[in-house]
Amino acid sequence: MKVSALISAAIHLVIMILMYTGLPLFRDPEILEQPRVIQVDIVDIADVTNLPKPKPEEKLEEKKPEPEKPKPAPKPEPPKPAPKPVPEPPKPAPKPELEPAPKPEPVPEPKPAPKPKPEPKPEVAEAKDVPIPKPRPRPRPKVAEVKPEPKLKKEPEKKPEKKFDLNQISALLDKKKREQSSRKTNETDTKKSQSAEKVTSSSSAGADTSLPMSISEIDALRQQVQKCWIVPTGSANAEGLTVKLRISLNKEGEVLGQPKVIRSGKYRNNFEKIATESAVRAVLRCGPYKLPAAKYDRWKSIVLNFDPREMFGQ
Amino acid sequence: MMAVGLRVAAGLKQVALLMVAIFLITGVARAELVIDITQGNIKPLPIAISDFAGKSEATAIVGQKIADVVRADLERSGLFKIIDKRAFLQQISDIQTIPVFSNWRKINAQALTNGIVTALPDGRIEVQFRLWDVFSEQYLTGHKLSTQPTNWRRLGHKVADYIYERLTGESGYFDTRVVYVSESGPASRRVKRLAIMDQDGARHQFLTDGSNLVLTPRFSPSQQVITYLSYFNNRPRVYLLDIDTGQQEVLGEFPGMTFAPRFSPSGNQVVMSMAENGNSDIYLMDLRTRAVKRLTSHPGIDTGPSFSPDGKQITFESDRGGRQQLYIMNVDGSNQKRISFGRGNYGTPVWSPRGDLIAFTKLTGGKFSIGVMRTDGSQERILTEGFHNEGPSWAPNGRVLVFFRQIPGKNKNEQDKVRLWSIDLTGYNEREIITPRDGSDPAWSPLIPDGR
Repeated sequence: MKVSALISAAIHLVIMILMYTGLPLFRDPEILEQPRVIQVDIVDIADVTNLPKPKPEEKLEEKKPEPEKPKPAPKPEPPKPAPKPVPEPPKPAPKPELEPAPKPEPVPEPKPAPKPKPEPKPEVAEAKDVPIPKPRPRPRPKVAEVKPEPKLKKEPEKKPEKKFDLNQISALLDKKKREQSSRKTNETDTKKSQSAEKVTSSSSAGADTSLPMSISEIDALRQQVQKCWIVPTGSANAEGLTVKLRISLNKEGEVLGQPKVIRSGKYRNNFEKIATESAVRAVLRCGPYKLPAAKYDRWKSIVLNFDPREMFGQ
Repeated sequence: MMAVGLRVAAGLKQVALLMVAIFLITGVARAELVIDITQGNIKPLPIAISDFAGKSEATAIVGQKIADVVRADLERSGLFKIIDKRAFLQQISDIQTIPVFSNWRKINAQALTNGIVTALPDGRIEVQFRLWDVFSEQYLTGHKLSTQPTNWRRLGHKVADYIYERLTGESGYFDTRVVYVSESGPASRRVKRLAIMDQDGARHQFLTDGSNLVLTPRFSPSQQVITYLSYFNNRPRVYLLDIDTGQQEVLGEFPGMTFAPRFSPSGNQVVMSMAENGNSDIYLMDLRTRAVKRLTSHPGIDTGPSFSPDGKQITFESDRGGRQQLYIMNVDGSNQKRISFGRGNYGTPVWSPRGDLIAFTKLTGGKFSIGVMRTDGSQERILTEGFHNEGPSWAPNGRVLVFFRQIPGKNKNEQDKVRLWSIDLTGYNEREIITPRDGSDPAWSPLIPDGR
């Protein structure tokens, strides 16, 4: 009885282990030579790939402590619901919202009989206290609406409304240039995304949502973010300033709300804060992201790990 | 027997459960995509600086000029790209309204500054400005400053300092000045005068008339006093000069020639070299008691002393090892040790205001370069190399260096050009500081205190 139970247990264990690790190769090497016929056709990986060296274990470890959250909680700002009267209506919103926003005139102290020389510091502190950011609780839905607006289309509509004095015209010319360039980058973007989509359709024709993201798809996203990331290189120990962000995306690939910073503890110095801001800026600037719609479940929440060490040759 | 079997079975069940749990956990973990972003861009941050508004025509003009100073400062730092104001879709005239960020995103601005200039009843002008993050739509910083109308350039520099600090994490350096030796005339009869100017080359003025040869001017921490070497009456001596009053004073009665002076971080001491019978050593003088202390006594030539920012150590150059190399010692002269071991000669060491680096001039293979190394001599890095680069001096934030560069004339009839240049600690962004004539021996001032 005992023996049979033990044998049974051992066999079960072996089977489980095999399930987990896969079958070891017991065969002779000769047989392996057989499948030479296989035609390898790697086409659709993006032209430029810059996959970082794999860091095997680390990642799983890191992820565990962070339970999944569907959406990044807004930075602890409890009074949020109050000032946001109507969450849905998009366009007309800005105007009324601006009204409460202007900060109360920053203490219009007349500064009586001051020294002849400037003494900016003291007032500076006061001015700083002006509660500008607070009255404006980051209008979440608006961000999403403003962003996607294809830059190109909006411009021409606006122009006619403007008065045409000479200065404006040259300014507009200037913008044209800029637009063109931005259009160009947009085009390359779409090209890239198309290639990404191609991969999807060919490799997972059935739109199998359980399939993980392919290397090309991940790479395309990585490139899109990297293109917009301006690294604060001048900071002391710039190479050590890593930043981790969790972003939530809607099905169009637009960033929902603000990226959430994943870090323990406060910023130890200004440089850490500035590195974080540079990463947030990159993420917000480069949306909407081109991702395979079929795999939305896989990318609705993404953790981005900004790590400039490689750039500094480390 | 039975019981044992059951227990084993129960144990197995636990094992199985554990394995299932492991599968689940790894499964869950796999659900969230983690992407490493390892490559970014090293390029200037695009920033829009709108003309500062003004209620009257006069203040509006000042507002424009101040904005121009801010733009020029930030652009020169190499860390910002200034967006042409003609591209702006919105003119912000009211400091109290929040900008329409989408207008600024369209022109690719990542940061935005707007401001307003007001004339105060007492005749002074006041500037208020705000800095915004265009993409995250956040207010970053804002200040209110006031001064005499003639001082408007400094308002611009101060605003630029605040913006620089908020966006780079380092303190700014725009509200500073540079003192240097202005040179003119043929090589045989070179006229050298002390001159001072804003860090951007504006408000240039001469401090001495050129009748005596002057060298190596250095600021005191208070900015009010300069110490330098003058050949007055053909006796090279270290002098003090009060910038505001023009008053000069010899520093101590030494038997030999004194040179290469520099203030301590507290401003209460001056460290310098004295040469006697062909030997130079380093001396420290207390400005309050005028007491002098000898720090080195070595047959070699010890010179070029410079304090660490904490005032506890001094770096200097010495040829005691056979070649000119860099050394450090404690402020009392103890614990002298060599830190540079590279090929060639090293000179003019200057301790960074951040404390972590020492900048120097290096002569090797017939070329003069400007470089930096850690204070233990490790991680030497050359920033710029050429025919003749010399005499680095740190901006107060330890991020930028100013030095002078001699460019040989193209033929025998053309004189060499000697000009002031600045360079970023990364080795990028070399810029000439435009001076009316040739210039050498620059020294960057500390940040100007707010009250002045």
